[in-house]
Amino acid sequence: MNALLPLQMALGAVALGPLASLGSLLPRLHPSWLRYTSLMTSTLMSLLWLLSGALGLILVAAPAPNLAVGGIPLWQFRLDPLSAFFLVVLGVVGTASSLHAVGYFRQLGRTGLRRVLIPLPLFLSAMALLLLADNAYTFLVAWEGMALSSSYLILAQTQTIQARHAAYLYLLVAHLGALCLLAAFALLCHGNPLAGNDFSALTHEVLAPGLAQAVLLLTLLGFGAKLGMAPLHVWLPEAHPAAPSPVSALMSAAMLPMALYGLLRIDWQILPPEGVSWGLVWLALGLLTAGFGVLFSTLQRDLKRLLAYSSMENMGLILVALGLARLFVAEGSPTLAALALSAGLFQTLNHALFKGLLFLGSGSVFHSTGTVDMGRLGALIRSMPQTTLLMLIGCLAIAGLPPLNGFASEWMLLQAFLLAPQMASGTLQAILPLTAAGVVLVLALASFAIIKAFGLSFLGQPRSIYTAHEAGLWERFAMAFLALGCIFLGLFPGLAIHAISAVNVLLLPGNSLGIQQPWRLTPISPERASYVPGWFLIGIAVAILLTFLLVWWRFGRPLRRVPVWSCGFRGARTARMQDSPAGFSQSLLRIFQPIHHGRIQPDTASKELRVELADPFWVGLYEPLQRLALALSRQALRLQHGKISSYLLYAFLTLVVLLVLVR
Amino acid sequence: MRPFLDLFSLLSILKFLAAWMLLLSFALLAQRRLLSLIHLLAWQGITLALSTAMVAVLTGDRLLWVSATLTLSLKGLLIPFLLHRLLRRLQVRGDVEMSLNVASVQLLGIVLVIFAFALAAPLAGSLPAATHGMLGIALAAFLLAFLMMITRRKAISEVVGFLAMDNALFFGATSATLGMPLIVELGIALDALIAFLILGVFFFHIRESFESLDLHWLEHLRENQ
Repeated sequence: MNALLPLQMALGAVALGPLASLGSLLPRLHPSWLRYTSLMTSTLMSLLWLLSGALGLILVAAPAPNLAVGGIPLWQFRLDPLSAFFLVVLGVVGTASSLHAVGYFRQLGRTGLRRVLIPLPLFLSAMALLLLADNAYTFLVAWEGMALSSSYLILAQTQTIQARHAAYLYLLVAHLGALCLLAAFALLCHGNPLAGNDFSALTHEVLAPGLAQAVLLLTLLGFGAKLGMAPLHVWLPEAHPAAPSPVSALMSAAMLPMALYGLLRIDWQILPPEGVSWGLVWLALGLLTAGFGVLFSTLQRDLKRLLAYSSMENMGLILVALGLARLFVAEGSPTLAALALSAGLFQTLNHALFKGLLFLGSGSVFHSTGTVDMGRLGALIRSMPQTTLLMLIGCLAIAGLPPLNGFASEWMLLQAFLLAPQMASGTLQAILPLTAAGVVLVLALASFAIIKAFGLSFLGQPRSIYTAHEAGLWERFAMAFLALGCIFLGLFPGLAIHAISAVNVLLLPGNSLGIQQPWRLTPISPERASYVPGWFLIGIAVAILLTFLLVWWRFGRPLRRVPVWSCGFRGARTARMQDSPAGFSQSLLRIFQPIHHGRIQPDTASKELRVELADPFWVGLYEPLQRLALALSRQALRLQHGKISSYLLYAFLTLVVLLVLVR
Repeated sequence: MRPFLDLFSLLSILKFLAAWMLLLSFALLAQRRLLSLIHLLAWQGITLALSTAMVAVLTGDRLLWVSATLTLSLKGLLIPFLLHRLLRRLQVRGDVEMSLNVASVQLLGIVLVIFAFALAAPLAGSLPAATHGMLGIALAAFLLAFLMMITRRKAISEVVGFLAMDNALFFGATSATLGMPLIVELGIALDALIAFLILGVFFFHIRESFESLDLHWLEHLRENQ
């Protein structure tokens, strides 16, 4: 088979994106035609990426296939295992989101549809182009395209003041990040990013140590802004809930990992990890992001905001895994580095599956009930049983329960931590167990948050009056696709690890993770901490069956139906007797009060307690910056008072000063 | 061709013209009446043309004669004539208000001349010995014209100041380096003419909006009163 074929296939799919966007502009197209053709094209594109990514991971060619188009500027493309892995992530999420969107946008008219369907294929294409880019120019163009098209998508459905604010904030942070990246690439390419140096040429360049540090810092800021890394995360919890759900799923499950890809490409492949310090920085920032994200996730009332903060937590965990891998490389233990790196990448894939699923599900809930406010939802299991089942799979996966996929990657990460003391030096021996404890705390809180999300929305009694209906066929199909993915990767984690090993070979001096059997996860050796999800599945099934039989045999005959005990409360059982979102996380609200400065305020209109949270980074970092900027601008405004003679005086004084200085 | 004047007297004439140029700059700075300002500008243009002609005699460069003719017709005659007509059509009368009194502006001007000569001194080493003082004078005339723009309030006097700056630059280029390429000169002349046209259009707009050419009305245009 031609080695170039996967790359050509992926590029062909990239080219379809702009065509689909242009196609949406055709006049007099019936809305449903418009919807089907455009979204089916998106699905086709995503499937092509999935296929080419999978081919790229399986058929690893010795020099990665590459292509170049154009003179100046030169577009260069390459498909190596790292790109291929992230292409698979993009393909999976893109397919599911496009299919879900067919159902989700079914009530939109032509204008509303165009708002979505013009930027959506461009967004997908930009992400794929980013992954295939092989020089600074192509990379930066794709990066900007991704930011621009997604900010249009945030505003596609709601143009409220909050949504516009969210889109503006997103664009602002994205551009700050892009500026950092531009500076980083300018340093990398010796001031000329347009010179057609492909990435492999950059790898061989030797940078001055100070310059390399600057590039590492700038890229961390640039990619961190997109990743939702802790001080730069402010846009994330605003933008994700504002966007339509298929877009939220794409942004959370596919776009955030693009920043991880960038970190791996620039900070790992081009500037190979040397020394411990940057590994520690990644570790610390990752843990901060994860802890912050998960804490805020538990306190949310809005389902989509909860999921958005949970994305932040997952990105933080992945950053922790990558930082750990970096530390291991610096410490000279490639086996453990491979373990941590695989854990991070596997978690990325898993996050794409279950977070995509949960965001799509929240979209179906919104479509069906008109709200994602958990203080209004409840008992969706009765009106949307199939959606509930699919969401349950996603929730179990994200909560990290075996035998689903979330457990497998988290298990690997924890194993990497547990094996650390054998290798690491003194300071690290002290730091790593603490970090591991932090990670475990994060995982526990993540389960708490997801129980809150599922329990309040799908179980119990409805907290307000609405008529919910089951999600449409397309929506359920898309969710089932992702749910099957969760189950499949949960049962056969070895397959994913085997595929990831191609990336390990690319990024690490040697891949020593050992051969994996598909049904079994072997972190280091079969004797130590290896995990067979199949046994778990059988065990759980047997336990459930036995309990059911026991209960049925002991209490089940004859079946009695009685009123539910209403806690001694006389009169009717009401929905208000259930936990409210604020009530559910009351303990965390109180324990972590110094961090989130949450205030509980009674809302007299709805007779509820409402929680107002304040982001400490916003209050402590952004607001002072904002005040400073405003004060400076006010001072600058003094210069502008409309007198031409003063303006001339400014010019005159500048001239005189320059003349004095230059002579 | 044997020069009809010897080198020494030619250079003397050139130096005299330079001094005359500086004197005219001071006169521009001091003059309150708009009509006289335009006359002074015309004189400056004529001086410029004469000095270019002197340089042409001195160096024997034929193209400089073209340049001198162009300067005379454009800066000595056409632009003052246009300004004159503008003044009549806009019916601006009376004195120019100045934001500083004449005496202090003149004193400031003297300080600027000293500054300009101090600046030009190290540069003069690279120039022909005969034209040592010229660069200082040109720079001084430039700064004086700038100062004039700063101290005036009426729009027309701003234009006069701008054109005087242009003259000073031109003088510096031709006298100090003994001639410059015709193409550069043509470009500068065209720029000055275009700037003049644009400003002329602006005058009408300013007067239409504010019913005055006094520039302090423009202060109302700023944001955030």
